Amino acid sequence: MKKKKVIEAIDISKSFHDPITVKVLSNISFSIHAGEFVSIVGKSGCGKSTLLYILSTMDTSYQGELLLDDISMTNKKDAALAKVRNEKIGFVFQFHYLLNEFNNLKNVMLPGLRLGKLPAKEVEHNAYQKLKILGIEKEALKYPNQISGGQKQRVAIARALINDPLIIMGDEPTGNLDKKNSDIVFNIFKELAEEFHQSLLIVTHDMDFAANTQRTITMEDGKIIDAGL
Amino acid sequence: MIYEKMDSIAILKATGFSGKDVHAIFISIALAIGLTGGALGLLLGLGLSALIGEIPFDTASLPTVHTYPISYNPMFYLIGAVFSVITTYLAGYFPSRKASRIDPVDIIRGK
Repeated sequence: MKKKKVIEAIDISKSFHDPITVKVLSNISFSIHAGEFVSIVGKSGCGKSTLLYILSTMDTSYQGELLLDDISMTNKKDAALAKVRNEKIGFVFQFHYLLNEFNNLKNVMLPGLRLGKLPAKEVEHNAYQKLKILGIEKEALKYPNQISGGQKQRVAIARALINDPLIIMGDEPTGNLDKKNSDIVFNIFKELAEEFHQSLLIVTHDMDFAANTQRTITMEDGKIIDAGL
Repeated sequence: MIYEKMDSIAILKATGFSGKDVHAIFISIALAIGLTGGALGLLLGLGLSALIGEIPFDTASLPTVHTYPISYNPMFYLIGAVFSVITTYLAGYFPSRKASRIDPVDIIRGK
């Protein structure tokens, strides 16, 4: 049986025009199937982060077409894209971006409350479950500035998971962590992929990290030189 | 306020809050400040005028007046309340609009 495509990029190109026109992505086409754990590697400046921002629907100035869950994201309005991100994409960045005004549990709940599909009580229950999977349920009622960097990143992963997204996207999620915490985060991703069949797309420059994912896409000068198939 | 909250705005947008939502959040913060500030100001004003109203004020031209004359016309309070809300709304409107237009990619890429 052919697996469902969660993301499909069709001939995506992008140029920066400031101060001179530079082509950062040229004719990128690839797709990711449900349950795949994929990493994108390449030297800094090869366009891998730029590609991720386009795939995440946050960057809308590109040529080509992007399909998420077989639905075209190209030419959708901002509000519609925000809804797609809320429902279908979970983000983990290099920096945790937790809100210090809220405790960790509330931070995890926030995208779930925005989605509004479940009552707040159930969102809270789910948030607690996600923190439990990541082994940080004890920190639920603490505030982000009271926990360590590695723990913050795990709270951020729990936040990414709250709406059971189609895909988790990571932009150097281990970039700010030491070896031990990087390993913890990697193992969480691996567990999510293997046990929960979560699709993941992680941009990284950590070759050890990439080597342990199921598939590695290698980029150079705005092109995919190895799709890892 | 907006500049301090750039990171928060970026993550809200990344996790599915639209520009409209962000705008609404900042406007409601501004209005909350306006309402509490306005209410506190009115109470303080009322207290002060009650105190001043106790001050002896004797004048030959107004034989019936023995304390400082004060008007407690509710109209003045209403004007004060409306003014505090309107000024904070305006003060919050433009920064909120700016916040709603922040491109999360610019913030996240910069880290």
